[in-house]
Amino acid sequence: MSTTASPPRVQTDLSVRIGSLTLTGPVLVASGTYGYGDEFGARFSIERLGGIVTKTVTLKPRAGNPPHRMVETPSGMLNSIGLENVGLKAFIADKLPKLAAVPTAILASVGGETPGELFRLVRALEAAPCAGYEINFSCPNVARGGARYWADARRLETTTRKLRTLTARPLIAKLTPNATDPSALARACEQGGADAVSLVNTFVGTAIDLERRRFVLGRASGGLSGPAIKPLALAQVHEVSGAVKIPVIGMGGIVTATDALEFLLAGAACVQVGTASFARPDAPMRVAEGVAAWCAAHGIAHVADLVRTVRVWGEGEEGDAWT
Amino acid sequence: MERAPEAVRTAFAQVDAEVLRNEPLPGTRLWWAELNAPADFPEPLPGQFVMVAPRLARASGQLLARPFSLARAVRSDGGWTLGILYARVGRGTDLMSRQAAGSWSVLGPLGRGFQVDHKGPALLVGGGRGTAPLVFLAEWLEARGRGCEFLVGARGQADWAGPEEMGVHLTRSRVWPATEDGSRGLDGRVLELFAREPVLAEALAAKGARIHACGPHGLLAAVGALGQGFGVPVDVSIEAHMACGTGICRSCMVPRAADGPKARKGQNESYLVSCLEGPVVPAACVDWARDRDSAPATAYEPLDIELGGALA
Repeated sequence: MSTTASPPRVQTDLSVRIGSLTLTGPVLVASGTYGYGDEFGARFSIERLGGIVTKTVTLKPRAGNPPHRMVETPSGMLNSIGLENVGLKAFIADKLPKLAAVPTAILASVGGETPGELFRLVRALEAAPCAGYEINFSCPNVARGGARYWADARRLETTTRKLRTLTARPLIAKLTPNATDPSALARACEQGGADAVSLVNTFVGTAIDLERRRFVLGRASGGLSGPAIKPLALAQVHEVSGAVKIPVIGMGGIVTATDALEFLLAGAACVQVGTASFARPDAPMRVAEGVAAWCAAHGIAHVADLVRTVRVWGEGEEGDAWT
Repeated sequence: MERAPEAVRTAFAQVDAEVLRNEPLPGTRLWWAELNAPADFPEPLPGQFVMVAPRLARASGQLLARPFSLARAVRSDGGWTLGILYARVGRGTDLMSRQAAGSWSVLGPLGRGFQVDHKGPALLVGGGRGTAPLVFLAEWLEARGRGCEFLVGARGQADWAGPEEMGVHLTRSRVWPATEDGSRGLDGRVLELFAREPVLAEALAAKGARIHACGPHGLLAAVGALGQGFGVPVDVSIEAHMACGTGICRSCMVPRAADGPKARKGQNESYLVSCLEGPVVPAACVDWARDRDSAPATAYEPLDIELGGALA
């Protein structure tokens, strides 16, 4: 990565505040792309991560969708996993205890088909060791309680308001990009008391097998992720971060530190690395290291100083070298 | 009641492996690559696989690595020489065929390999490029003083991939060829060999026999049924669309047989995770009726055709 600027190297403050929680760095791993956080053991420097968002947990175990569940597409992939997970009971009994040893913040992703299911999940997890919650309001691959169901500002606001009464831990609302007005959904969560919104979840897409004349995916459509969606995600992060005061957690096709830094400039307070981990399991750590190195090389005192600092041409250019 | 195999997570590494060889197998539509993985690459076992991405992948917009069973793993100076058999069926394999020098990214070794603790005959049944992990298994068994009966099936010469072609000269084993167009060995399907060759029927009936198979899932289902009929355990190496290879993404699920070995605690009761509980699983674990072929049906158009010859 280019580090052409040469102000004095500084010790950048990489911490990010989300509600009552201080993350040690601006790079997290996205739900469903790092399992439960214990799978790789001590193989990687997980302490470099600001946090791990676990695979979405639901009240009951879910077997997930029929195959095929994944197909690669140009610069991206479609997935249709369908919230396969071990269920709340096993998550608390078997998964969370192992995560206690992981040296980073553990954010539990929770998913429900109704508001009531989310309330039960959060109530049950309050006694369990996790630092906060990301509420999955945006899975595109389930018949009930998915992105379509939750793309309703009033439902989001009332649900978030009730969740707020159940926990003092950070509440992050993960939103769908498949909505006419993502900012309206984000504002609804803010008004309900969410500490942050995270976006984007995947874009609905499909792939077709010509000779078999069938959709490749077992459930016909899936969610598109990877570098293919990065420009779409950047635009949504910029738009939404201008519409709410709470932090926006940005994601969508981040593979390199450059990608991550662009999301910060667009308006993300911190970012999540998702699909890139499938290509290389050490990708999030490399992104985190790269972000820290770039900030130090560019004399950035606090990573928050970068957030939403992108400008349009002609804006504030008086001091620039070429004018 | 027999239990389903446990998930296997052996030590693995992400390495850059130098391409030593990468060329078509003469007279076939298959390709053979040899890579040199550095010393920190853990020792692979027969049946294990690697996720491979050539250097060109990133630059050309290919996101994910591709899974390949190892066809060979030979200790060499400063590491391992890994053998990979492949066919150009899509963009990933097309890119692989275009990079004969430099290095490829290799993640592995991954997954659960063949179960080799049986005392009786080892019967290896391969279809098409499914022979790849069996060649590794045969070479591995011979290095430990054990031979095998290696049934090599192919539609015809263009799909023929025997051990000799991959540089493996078996001395304690017998290779039994069969082709559907009769161009080599038995004129027919590979499983017909058991009916035609008394030696194989005898081996099948011997105490402690085990079948190890890899190939199209239709063949694997048939081998499973044959094994069940003779009361012989059958291990099959299965294949599915895979993103990560490490059990995280949950893409490579294959339907679990409701009447097969019971899922263990924490395992998905409806599906096997082929990268963790496989790729080698007991055939009885798979619900072949619900299984969906993951092989591409649409012929791949190489990149230079897509781009109007711009890269040719």
